[in-house]
Amino acid sequence: MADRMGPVNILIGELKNEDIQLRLNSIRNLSTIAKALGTERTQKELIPFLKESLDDEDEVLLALAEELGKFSEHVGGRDHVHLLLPLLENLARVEETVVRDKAVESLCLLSEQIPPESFEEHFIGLLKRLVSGDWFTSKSSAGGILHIAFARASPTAQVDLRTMYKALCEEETPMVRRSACSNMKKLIPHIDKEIIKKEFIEIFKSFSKDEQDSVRLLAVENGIVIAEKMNEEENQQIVKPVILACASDKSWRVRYMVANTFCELCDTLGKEITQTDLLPVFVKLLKDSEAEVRSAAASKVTGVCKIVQLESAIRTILPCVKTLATDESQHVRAALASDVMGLAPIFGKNHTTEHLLDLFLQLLKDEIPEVRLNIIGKLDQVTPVLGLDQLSQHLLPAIVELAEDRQWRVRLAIIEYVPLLAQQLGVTYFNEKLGALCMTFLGDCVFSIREAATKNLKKLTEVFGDAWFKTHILPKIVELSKHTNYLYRMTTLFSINTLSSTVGPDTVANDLLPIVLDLLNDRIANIRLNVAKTLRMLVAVLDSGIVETKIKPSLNKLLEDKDRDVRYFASIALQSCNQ
Amino acid sequence: VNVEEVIAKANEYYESNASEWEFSQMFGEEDDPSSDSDTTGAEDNWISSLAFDSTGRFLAVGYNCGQVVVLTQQEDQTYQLYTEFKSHDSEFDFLTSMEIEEKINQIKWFPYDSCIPALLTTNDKTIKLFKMLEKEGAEGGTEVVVKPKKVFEGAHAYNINSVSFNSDGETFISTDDLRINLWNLNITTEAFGIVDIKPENMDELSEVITSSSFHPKSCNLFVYSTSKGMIRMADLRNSALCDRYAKEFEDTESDIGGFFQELVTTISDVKFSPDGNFIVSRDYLTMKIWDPRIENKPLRVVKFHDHLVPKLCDLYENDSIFDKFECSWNGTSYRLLTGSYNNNFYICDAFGSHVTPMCAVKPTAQQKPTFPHPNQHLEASQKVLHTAWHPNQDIIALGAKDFGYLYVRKTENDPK
Repeated sequence: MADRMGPVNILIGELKNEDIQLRLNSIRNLSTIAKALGTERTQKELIPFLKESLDDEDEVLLALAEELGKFSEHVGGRDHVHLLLPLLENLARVEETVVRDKAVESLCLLSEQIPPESFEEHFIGLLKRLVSGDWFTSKSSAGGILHIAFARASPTAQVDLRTMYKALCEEETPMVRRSACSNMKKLIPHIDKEIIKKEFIEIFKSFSKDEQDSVRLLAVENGIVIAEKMNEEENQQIVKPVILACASDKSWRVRYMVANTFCELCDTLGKEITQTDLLPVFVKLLKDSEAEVRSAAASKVTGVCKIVQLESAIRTILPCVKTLATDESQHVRAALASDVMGLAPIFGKNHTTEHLLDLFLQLLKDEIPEVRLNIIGKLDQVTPVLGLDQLSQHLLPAIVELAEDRQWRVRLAIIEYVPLLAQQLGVTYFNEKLGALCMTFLGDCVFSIREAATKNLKKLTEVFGDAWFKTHILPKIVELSKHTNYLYRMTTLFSINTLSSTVGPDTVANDLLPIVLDLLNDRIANIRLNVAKTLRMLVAVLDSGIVETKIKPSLNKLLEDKDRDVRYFASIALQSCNQ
Repeated sequence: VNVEEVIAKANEYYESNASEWEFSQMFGEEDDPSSDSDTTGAEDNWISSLAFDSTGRFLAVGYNCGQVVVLTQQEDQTYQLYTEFKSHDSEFDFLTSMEIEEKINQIKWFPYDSCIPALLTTNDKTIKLFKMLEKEGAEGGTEVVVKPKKVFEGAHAYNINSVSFNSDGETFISTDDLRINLWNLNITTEAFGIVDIKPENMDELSEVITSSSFHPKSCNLFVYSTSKGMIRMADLRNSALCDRYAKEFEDTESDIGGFFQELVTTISDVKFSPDGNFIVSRDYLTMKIWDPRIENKPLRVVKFHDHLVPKLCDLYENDSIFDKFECSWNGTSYRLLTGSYNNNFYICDAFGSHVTPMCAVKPTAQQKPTFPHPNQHLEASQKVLHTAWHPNQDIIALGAKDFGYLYVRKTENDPK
């Protein structure tokens, strides 16, 4: 016992240390302390001690709030969980937002364990105290735990809770109203439909007309949750008007929220409302004056078209989409590009050819690389519909252009799509059209590109197999290993590093190892150093015979190298040979 | 808002609340008279900003040396020291090889009452959020600890002139010569640029932003003023980027003309009235009150610096023409306060219908309160640049070099 307490005593002592790092460390090890003390001493000594000396550093308080959420076993389980509540209550009143939020989170976690008999006394009591606190800080926190209370309270208690909630919703300070509004969606699932209609709809409506933009924009999500509880007719009367109002709100941020959650809105309000009322709204959002709103709407085009009738999608949404392809904002066009390909499977082959193909091609020629990349990234949705031939004649020039873009980050993005394209295009087409490109990446002037190219080789080999590798890639690697610029000889070694685990051991032994050994006497020390490193990697896949006859002697030679670092890495490699 | 009614009420207010002011307190350290005439050292103790919090309980005073002093109101309405702290230190910008001064350009308090008062302070480049906590001191009394909770830095290539809280209690703007950034109080790593007047070609630069302020109640409106005498109102609801302002206010009638025209039109301060119905702008010679619905001329022009017009040449010679005077509204939005030279200050009632000139000076047994008179020698070094008005009481704070003055309105003469 003494042994165990030793380090724990230190931890306890450090709870009050001036150095914040030590206090932080102690708090993070609170469960260790509690385990050593045992349940009873934790209850009677540790918790009161923490309560009395509440730290004033936010970092420490945050760590404490987090630890307490997992503390119930240390205080003796369900029956004693309530002992932790006063501490968390204090933390929920603290000035710093992140600490309060964490305390609220922990309170929600612990609340599940409070037995029903004492729930009202402990949890609802805590809630009442927070709601009636003087400052906006405690009231805001109250908003965060209300849904827990609603889920478990008796019907009589619920009446009280609803009164409390209403008071929070009418608070003058925006911070409290914001908390109340954003937590409404957590409350609604726990409340009877009739009560929602009687009491909460009013609140929902007044939030959607709040003078503070930051409150109004939260109303949209509440609408979705409420709509889920109502039937279609109720939604027509109650929720739809509010959503329509939000969609034409003066603040673009509110309209943005509507655009951003549009698919969920359609799902929950149902096909009829979507077809009749939401569709025109969506079209308006696609034409909104604010680019951010248009962007959000553009990324939902596929989702919406899945829900509405095809004919009306073609008639109303398609014209807007075509306009968006030439939107003045590149972010809008990029958002459109990453979504619009999904229309192909919905429209089917004929409609896609007639209406969408030109659109794709236009975006594929956009002046902004990101737009073009977004199209290429989603090709897998279109190729099954249209077939490769049709696309390839347009695709290839676009890919080649992006692969040669001046900005290396654009080139990098293209490399990342190459394995995907390889899979879809198939080996013959790939060899013909894109093979050469992959090889040029290996010789790019930017290191990150060369590095990505070697990883690319590995993925391609995984797709196409060893035989393909030997015919098409190997010669290039051999050629690269003889380049006069040492940077490219390095690339050779890096390629071999990544490929060593992909190709078969025979290929490694017969084809890759010779290349490495050829570089043993390279005049650049950096190359010889990397030869040692590569040999070390190859040891893992080659059988011991080859290791003994070919690798070890080479490494021994490097042990006598005139460069110190070469000798060092050679010795490390030799150590792994002997393991 | 019926403007005539408001003006009438403001007149009534003036009639029943006589604008007679008396000295209440003075604070500040005298320059050490025995020190060498090292001008930079002497200016360290000069006040550079003043602000009351939303309750009037606290008055924050910022100094050139980066120090902030917070005073708190006592039962007898006077203010005593509550706490003080070093807000900013001077830094060296390696890129431009320039020193970043520690001078506190502006202080603003968090607009909502809270158990732990919070304030934003800013120097040329960095904005900081401080919170004041009361703790049990070593000997059992309470001590006040001030902690920097957030540092908002790296977002301004040019010098910051103002910060302003939004009524949503969550965001604020910071403004430099060419740009305005929108911040969230909880996020120091990102800011949104919402206004940018930097021209493509810097050779074409002709206008800089001089001040900005959020509407006290509408979370979407803010105004900013420029060196060309323009006031622009932007609406955050309209679009993500507020370069296309919603309204532009300009007084196209100019009195001066000539060489100094441009120099005196630059606006040094612009703010909404506490009720949100009017805007005031302070330029070198006047204060202008604007009705936000009328953009092409101000509602009223309050003139109190006409005596400076013949002296503009001298004021230009000694650089005084570039002084930036602040102005302040009272809590009922009926009165305005602004400073001047010779330690004078002016209280303007009922939209400029009545202007009460005063002089900020500590009354001694021999000296009675003095008032400006037309032929007095212009002492440009004695200037009241900084002002603040208690949010709901008739207490005003004035900053004149290293001294701060508090004046209260005399109430014995009010009609019963």
